[in-house]
Amino acid sequence: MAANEPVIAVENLSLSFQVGGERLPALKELSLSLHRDEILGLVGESGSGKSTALFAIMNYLPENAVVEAGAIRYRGVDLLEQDRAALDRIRGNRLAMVYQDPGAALNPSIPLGRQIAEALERHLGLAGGQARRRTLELLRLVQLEDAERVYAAYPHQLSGGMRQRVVIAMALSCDPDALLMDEPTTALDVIVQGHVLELVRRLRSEVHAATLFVSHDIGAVAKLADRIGVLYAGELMELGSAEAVLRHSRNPYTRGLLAAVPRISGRARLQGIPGTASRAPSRFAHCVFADRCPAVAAICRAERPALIEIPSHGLRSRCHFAAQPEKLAGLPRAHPAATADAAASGGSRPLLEVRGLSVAYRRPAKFLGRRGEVVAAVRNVSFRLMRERVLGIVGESGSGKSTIARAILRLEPRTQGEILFEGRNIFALDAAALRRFRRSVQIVFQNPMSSLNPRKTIAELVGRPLLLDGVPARKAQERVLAVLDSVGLGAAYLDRLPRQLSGGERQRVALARAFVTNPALVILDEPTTALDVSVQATILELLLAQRRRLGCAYLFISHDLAVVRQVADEVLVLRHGEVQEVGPVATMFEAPAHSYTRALLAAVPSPVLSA
Amino acid sequence: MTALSTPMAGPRRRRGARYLEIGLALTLAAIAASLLGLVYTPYAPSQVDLLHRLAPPSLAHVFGTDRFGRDVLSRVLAGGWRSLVLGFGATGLGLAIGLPIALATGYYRGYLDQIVMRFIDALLSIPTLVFALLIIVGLGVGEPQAILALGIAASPKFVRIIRGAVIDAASQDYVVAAKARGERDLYIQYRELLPNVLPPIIVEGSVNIGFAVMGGAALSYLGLGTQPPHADWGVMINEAQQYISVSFWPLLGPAAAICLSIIGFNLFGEGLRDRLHLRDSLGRE
Amino acid sequence: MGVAYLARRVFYGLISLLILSAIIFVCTHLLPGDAASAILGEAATPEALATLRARLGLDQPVLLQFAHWLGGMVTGDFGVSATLNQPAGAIIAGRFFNSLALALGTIIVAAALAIPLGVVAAVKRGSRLDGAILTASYVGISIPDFIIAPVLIILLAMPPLNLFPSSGFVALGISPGDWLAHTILPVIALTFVLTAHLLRQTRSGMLDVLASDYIRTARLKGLPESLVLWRHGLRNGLTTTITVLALDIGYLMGSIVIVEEIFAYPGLGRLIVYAVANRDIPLVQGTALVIGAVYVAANILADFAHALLNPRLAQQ
Repeated sequence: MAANEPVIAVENLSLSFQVGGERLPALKELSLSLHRDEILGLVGESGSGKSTALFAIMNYLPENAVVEAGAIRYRGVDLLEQDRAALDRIRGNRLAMVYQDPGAALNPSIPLGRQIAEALERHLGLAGGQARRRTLELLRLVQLEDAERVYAAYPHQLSGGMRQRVVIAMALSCDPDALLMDEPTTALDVIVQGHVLELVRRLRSEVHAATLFVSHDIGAVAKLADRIGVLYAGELMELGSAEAVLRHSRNPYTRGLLAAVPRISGRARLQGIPGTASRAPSRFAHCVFADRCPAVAAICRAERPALIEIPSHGLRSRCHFAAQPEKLAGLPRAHPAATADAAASGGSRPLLEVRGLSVAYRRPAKFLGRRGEVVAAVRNVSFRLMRERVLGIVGESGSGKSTIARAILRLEPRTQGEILFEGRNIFALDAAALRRFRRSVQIVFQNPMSSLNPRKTIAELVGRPLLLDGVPARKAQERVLAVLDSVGLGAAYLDRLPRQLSGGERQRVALARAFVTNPALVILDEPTTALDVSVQATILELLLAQRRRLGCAYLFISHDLAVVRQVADEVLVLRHGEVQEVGPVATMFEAPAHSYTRALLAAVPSPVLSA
Repeated sequence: MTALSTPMAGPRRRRGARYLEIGLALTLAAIAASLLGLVYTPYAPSQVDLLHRLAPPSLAHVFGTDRFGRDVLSRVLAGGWRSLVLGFGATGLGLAIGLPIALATGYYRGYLDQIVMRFIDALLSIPTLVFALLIIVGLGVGEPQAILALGIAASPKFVRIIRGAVIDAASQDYVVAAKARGERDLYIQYRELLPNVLPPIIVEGSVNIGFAVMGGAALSYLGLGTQPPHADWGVMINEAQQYISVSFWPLLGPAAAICLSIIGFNLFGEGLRDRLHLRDSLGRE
Repeated sequence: MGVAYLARRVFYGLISLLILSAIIFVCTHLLPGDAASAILGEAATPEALATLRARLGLDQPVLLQFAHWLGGMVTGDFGVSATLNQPAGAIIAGRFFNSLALALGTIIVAAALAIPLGVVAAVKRGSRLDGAILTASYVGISIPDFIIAPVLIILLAMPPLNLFPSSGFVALGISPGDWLAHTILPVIALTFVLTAHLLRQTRSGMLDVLASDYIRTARLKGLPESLVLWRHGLRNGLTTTITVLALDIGYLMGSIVIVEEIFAYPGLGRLIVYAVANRDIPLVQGTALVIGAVYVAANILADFAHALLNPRLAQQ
């Protein structure tokens, strides 16, 4: 095969799904190619069609998928035309996949070594002993040094990161020509993500497969990819070298996306992209991004733009004005202007003071009579939060950050230590003071789907805290309208149910519900983790604006350091329930003292940029 | 994206729709016939005609006559309401008992949950019919006792299924939000959780009506429910079976009535479950 | 394997039986009138009632009666049948094996039919075959045993075919051929409903398994569908089937009551109907407890098998 010839060429692929009587398009005339020794990163938000494209290459599509046009060529053969027997020879052998959730992707009742060996036996005809030896080699290749133990182990006996390494080993087993990776680090913890990305980078010298790396995490893609493609609503918006796309993008969507990504290098004024991606089948009659584009013109709504070649940068961009950079001057900058960190406030009395907080929980009793063991979720945590300040609590999963939030809300029974709100012990409040406390401290959760009762209207959801507090119905209604307006939702939303709203809209409702009582403190537990990047930026800006207007303080919990960098004044790093480090945000990020903090920072991938 | 992990996800929705409609039609037909039987029957259900006993179907007697020459169709119509009252009554009772328990245990968990579930598990190890028999031993025979027995016997199953749904719902953040607001426990159970577990309640309730009708007919068949000479489908089958060597026609009417009613309720419930994409008693779709 | 796990399961089973026996005891003592007046009837004199009560131990506090009875159960003394005046235990034991024969026969036939059909229906989900199988199973569940049985009798036990006797029983020891002839019809009747039930559950379980990510992984590893099914699918699908089989034994026990009554087959089902109709309390209690114990034992066996197939459980 000539060096420049693609291993896999997706040619003009148009794909739809037949749902009920309708045909819903998912991909439109998608063309991209994978080359040996090269990683192509495919970036897109939810609904962009990136996973569909990935599975289309394997020709693993649901029955209701309709390929309207195009082909996917591998070694001269159209993969979409192959029957099951032919595909069986190719899958796992010449084309291999790495999955998003390694725990679910591995069979729970077959030892891991066998799951890898079976591909070797099937495709390479290796006999038992040989297969086992090769499997052990592969396990060591992915840095699972205790290969023998892993070989005999079951998935539930390994951690998430180790499982993903097994999946990677399984994919590499037959030395495939192409490697397809479906968000391989999304389900992993921050530091483990870093390790796995590092592994993939290091394997490049050994593995020459053409690699497709699909992700919504631009930072991860930027760290690994040689070339980057950007997908939006089923349309390829831009394709080019990583440097070109990240630094010299000529596409308004890409620019908007890059402007929305939070960086750990400094606080910036993030800009989200207003609106939501269209799913209307008719969207391909014009530019799919027209409704949300800040540089939109008449032609954008009338004609679908083609991919325009920009030879000077080695870039192809789908925009009517791609070759006229002056028309795109008004777009958000890919490197948002840095804003100054908030000055330290001359604090008087802290709004919230936590002293020596320890929270334990009892593992559920297994044997009747003998209770489960007691596990400490939070150990001796102390911090203070001044009025109108933002304290970011950073930690990986299981670090205890949500437990702290619940403890402050008085939801944890086994709490030791002191929690003082406005100087008073929250566990010793009389009825009136308790009501005031509940009014003053609110919480916003991570998952906008599960934090709003699906059977209640928006009006009921946002109004309930007021009604509970004894506010008369008419006044409550006014207040609800006002607070919905402040988060950008109009009166039309009052009678809707959560399922009629998008993720971003639901999270705004959750914010409205938190702000409706004019709280002094809002606890935000991973409020943007479940949202697309462009939506996240809007919500973060909204949070900061609300804080300035209402003068409330935030306890911002997240595992995402870049997001914390954007909003926090002080940062507390938590690990296994214990405080590792706490201090002003700039110091923490630029000159962290603790090794764990440094490890966290090192693991965060950030889009390539310089100011 | 589950669509991609099941390449065999076919046109599922259409099939479920058929079951729902057919079940609904049969159910409504059964209810209509029973209501009709309350006010009108071609002959009086107890009208005896010794000259035409065990007669096969004819123009005069569409389902034939039984061993006393009574018109089978009339008795089927007249007995319908008993079976339906039993079906609905037992189900209503089972839900009335099971729902509060399910809400409480699913919400509070802890020791209360452990103890109650041990209890429920023990109850579930007796077949419904045997449990009903036990209660009848205690209460005596008759219709009201049958309703009571079948209702109590159905409640453990409701507790198990509804509790599962309650636990799922209670793990959602909106419940944590409610607790943080300081909502009372009862409010959370009945105003936050209950609306979200209505679907499985409706489905399981519908399916149970069918089984309660079956159970009631079984009890009558065994002589432990409605007593003869009242018209009742189970009793009729029992009587018909004794004369089966002479003529199997008297069996036809009540057998058809029971089967169609039960099929109707079952199809309705299952179709509803399919349509609402719910999980069955073992937690599967 | 985790011995602790198994020990725990057995322990829970015993707790269940304990609670069950309490429930049975309570149920049988619900009526205001007690066993003594039931036996002696309306015309009994107060002295006769008092004597009988003392003899039956009914004048003692309820808890003590319960403890007595429980103690008896544990040692195998099921009391004396009030109507038959024989030790209840012996009566129950005899019938137990008859019912066991029915149950085992039914389970084997039903499993042999339902499991393959369920797997096929799941694999070919959405096809007409699947639709037909599913419809048949819905209908099968909905037809009561007391209708299937007479229909079977009409078809097979009466002229013109007259293949099998419609009732009665001949002990295995006396004549195996006759024993079989008398057992076949009840087994067929029971198999109908159990197969329908088992089929639905197997199909559901397999559908779940087939929708899981590791099946996708197996396919994308290039394994042919037969291998995917056999090696990756069935092993995990069987786990659910076993759970279901255990639960269905409970289902079966309920059906057995009716079917034995219809075919005049001398098993536990017929016994409990007789006992309930005649308010023979010791017999009712003993039979109900044995029926419950069968279910609990089946569940424990299912848990054992579960742990064997699912290594994750065994290590807890």
